[in-house]
Amino acid sequence: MENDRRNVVLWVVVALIVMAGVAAVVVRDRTRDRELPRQMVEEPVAGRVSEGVETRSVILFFAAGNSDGLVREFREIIAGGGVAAEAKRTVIALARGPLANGAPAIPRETTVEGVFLDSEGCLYLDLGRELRAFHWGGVSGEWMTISSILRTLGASFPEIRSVRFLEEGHPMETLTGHLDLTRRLWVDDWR
Amino acid sequence: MKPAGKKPGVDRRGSWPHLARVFLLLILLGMAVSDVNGEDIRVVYTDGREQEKIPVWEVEEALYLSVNDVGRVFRATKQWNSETRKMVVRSGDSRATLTLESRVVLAGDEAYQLPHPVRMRSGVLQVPLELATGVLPRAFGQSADWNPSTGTLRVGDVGANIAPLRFKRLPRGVRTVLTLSEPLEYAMDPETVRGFRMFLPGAKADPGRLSQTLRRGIIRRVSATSRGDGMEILFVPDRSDLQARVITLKDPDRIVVDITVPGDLDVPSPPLKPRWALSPGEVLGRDREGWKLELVVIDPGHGGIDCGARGSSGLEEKEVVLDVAHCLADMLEDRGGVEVVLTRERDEFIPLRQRTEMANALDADLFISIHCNASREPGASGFEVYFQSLEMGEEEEAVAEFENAVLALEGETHGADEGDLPFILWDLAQSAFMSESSDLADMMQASMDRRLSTRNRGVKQANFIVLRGAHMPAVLVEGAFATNESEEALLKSPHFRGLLVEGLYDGVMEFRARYEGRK
Repeated sequence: MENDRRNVVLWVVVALIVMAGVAAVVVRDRTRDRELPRQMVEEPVAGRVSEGVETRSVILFFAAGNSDGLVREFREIIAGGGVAAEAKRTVIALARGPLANGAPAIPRETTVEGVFLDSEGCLYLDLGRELRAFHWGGVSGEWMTISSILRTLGASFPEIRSVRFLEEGHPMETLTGHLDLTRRLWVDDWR
Repeated sequence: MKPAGKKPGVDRRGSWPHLARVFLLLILLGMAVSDVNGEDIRVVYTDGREQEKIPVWEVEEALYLSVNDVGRVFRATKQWNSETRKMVVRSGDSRATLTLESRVVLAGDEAYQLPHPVRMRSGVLQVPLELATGVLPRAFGQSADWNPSTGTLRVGDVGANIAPLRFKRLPRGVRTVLTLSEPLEYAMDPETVRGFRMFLPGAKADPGRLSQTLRRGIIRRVSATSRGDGMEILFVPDRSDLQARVITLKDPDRIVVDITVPGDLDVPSPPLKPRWALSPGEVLGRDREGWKLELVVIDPGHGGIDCGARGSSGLEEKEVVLDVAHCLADMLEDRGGVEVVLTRERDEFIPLRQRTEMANALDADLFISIHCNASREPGASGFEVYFQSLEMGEEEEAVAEFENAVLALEGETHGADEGDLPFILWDLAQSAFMSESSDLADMMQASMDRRLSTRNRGVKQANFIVLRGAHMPAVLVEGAFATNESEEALLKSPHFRGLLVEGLYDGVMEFRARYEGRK
């Protein structure tokens, strides 16, 4: 009799844990959407089919735990507008953060002001000042941010051979005082 | 006789085995009703993309892929209509229409029959493998070659056996990597007037895909042409005194061509000559009376308006590193008998370029930049030492990019004036200190490891703005993560800071012991 009661209690506990887990995931996703600037909610979520929207699959690279490398995640972005426009949406998706494993390598507040792809395959990536303002700093943190962007763009857009970082139209010298961003960074060098 | 009031142990624990059995049953049931995740297939691209593995679902006898993965492979877009239960997959002007739970694929005027129907699982459309290996390549006019024995799908110019070339900067030149789908022989001619000429019998590729105008390093252009039963690749450099070295590698088959500047670098003298702007040999200390450690410049990172990394309890990197720098300076002067200059003595912002310029102007023998690390991941921890990785031969490009550059933080404008040019050219001299900087980093990392109980993250290389242009062995030290709660507490403690300083001091002294007196 006592065993039966204990079983019932255990089952209830297990059920509550499962429900709490599901609720946490739902709340997290909803919170994530609510917190994002409007600019960032322009791409469909995860890999599910999206009604009436033309999408393209890209590979995003996020920070692995303990700043020890990158993990990849497949994501659907809205297609169209050419390589530069799709690259812009891809970087926005990067800033939005992972849906599965890993952690964002770019501050969530980051905005993409503009992108331009020149005839030599150099993508001029113009980011808002939020990138530096909200960045956590450190060499590891900077490396993860730059690496995440370079690996992501290189994996999905063979047309992009190098990236030049700009901040609100001006060449960026460094992110938080460490890595040299005064020159274009070659995708091959970050593979 | 058992103690009264206690039940036999087997009864008390009886519920757990029971629960475990129930869970096991549930897991087995779940496995029975779900699909089996088959082995991944490998996708190899010939357009320069990295190869990737994509998952396969095995359903009875059929192999299914996610339509998202298939779309990515062919760089196609997708559009779903839930009313008609159709998905249009589009690549350029070509399109293919899939219908849920149907085997028919419509593409242009053609109707293709898949061996199994399209299905949907967890909101994702899954398609038979044959869509990727047969239907879409034909519908999109693309090439794909499926090898079932190796589980490899080659996509793109499948007739080619050379993938698009990849380039990597070297301290003294440029590395070109030819990735092959099969082993190929090569013949490399000595340097001619036009450049280095390589002939590969049996090579097949679209010459247009291989040819490139680089504007990168000492190689100006790579042009490929089909010649008889093979291909010729011409590497056109922008100077004549270069050397080429070719090696072959396996798994995957590669031919690696390094074109480099032979011997010591010929560093041009800058138009304005400060004290350190002597001949290359003098700058490198090669014709002095042996190297001697007399002056160390220590750079406490950040400062003033730039606080650097912040800990969750308010610790600021700029304060920690200033204290560590002062302690290290005291120890080097008192114990080591070495003169030390700090790039900043107090909480003030010094532009990054000025820090190495200061060390150069003082003709310092070592440059040590001290920092705290940071990560968005609060669990990231440990110490590491970096030295500079160089970007060589981009002088023209760098000058062009400096035009109209604005250093927002410093509030000053840098044009491509005469002052920039020597700075860029003198970057070249730094490669002479690569080996010494690497040794210094190794020694500091090892000596810190002996003193500290935190994680050793190893010696690393990166391209730092603060080490750029330093004409002496130079390293950047990351003592601990300010964003890690326990390491933030350590950074606050004088004991830990003392150990950190001892570790750095030991490293400098080991370096001195190895190099002092060397010519």
